[in-house]
Amino acid sequence: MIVLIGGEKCGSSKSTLATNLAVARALLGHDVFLLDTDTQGSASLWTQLRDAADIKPHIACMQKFGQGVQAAIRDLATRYDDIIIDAGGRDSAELRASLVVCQRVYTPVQSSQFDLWSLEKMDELVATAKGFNALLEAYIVVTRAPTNIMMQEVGEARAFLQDFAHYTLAHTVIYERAAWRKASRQGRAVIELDRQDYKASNELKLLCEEIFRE
Amino acid sequence: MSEHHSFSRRPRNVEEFIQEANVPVPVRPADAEPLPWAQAREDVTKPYQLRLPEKHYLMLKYIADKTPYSMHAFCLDTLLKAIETKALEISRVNHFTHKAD
Repeated sequence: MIVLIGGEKCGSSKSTLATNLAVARALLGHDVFLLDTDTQGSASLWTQLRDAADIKPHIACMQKFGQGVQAAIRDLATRYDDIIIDAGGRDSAELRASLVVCQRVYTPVQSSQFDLWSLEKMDELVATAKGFNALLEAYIVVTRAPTNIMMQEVGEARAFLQDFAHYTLAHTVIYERAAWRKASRQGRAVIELDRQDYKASNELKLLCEEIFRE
Repeated sequence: MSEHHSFSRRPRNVEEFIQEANVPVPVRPADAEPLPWAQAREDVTKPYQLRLPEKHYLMLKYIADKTPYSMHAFCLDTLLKAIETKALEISRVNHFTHKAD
């Protein structure tokens, strides 16, 4: 399956989700390729950290920009079970090229910072991309949600996000937990930490099941 | 919902859709100075000596012993991808930098 983790908003955990999902799928025995189309190269740096620490499974990763992205994804899809694309936080050619070839796009949105303009823009991009890619399914996943049960942000975000015509709200919510940052710094996924945060691990497991369902 | 619409009209094809990104695919102007490798021949190889720290030389040898790669094939496979990515990235950044000037 070709899955795009992409959106226009920076700092919404796109690379964190992409890298964690790559590990989760690889640990399930799937042949995974992580395609980094973000010029910041966070996912590539993460794989370098991982390789330097000799963490298994190895996650194949490449940075790709410009006109070849679409062809590269199609080619990779013939050789790997799953392609996970990390597309940077802007309306780039790479984001659009990925939208026309992926099966599912998940746009992470911070519960405290949902941004009407950038989401409207993404909704329009998805609508146009669906004209070229009829199988495209688009989901918003709420990320960095507060763990404090008194905070109503997740409910508010859910209500707000239901208005978008071309997006469906993902069931899984990713909460703000130190484990996500700690894992990223080590080139790991949350399920690979020595001292596991079981809540974060469970969120990853649920999101992975939701994204890669048949 | 605001009435903002970023598309004044629907793109006619995928290429047009991609090209209309706010950060579009850079297209080098026809009068741009050609990139140094523009005329490179596919059948020509150029030797370049790689000087490695002893540790990495031994690691490379270890890779060659334990995998189907030769030392040369492993370096080539790894380097070509990195060189292409970086060279394209730089040529793209330079193009936009010059445009901004």
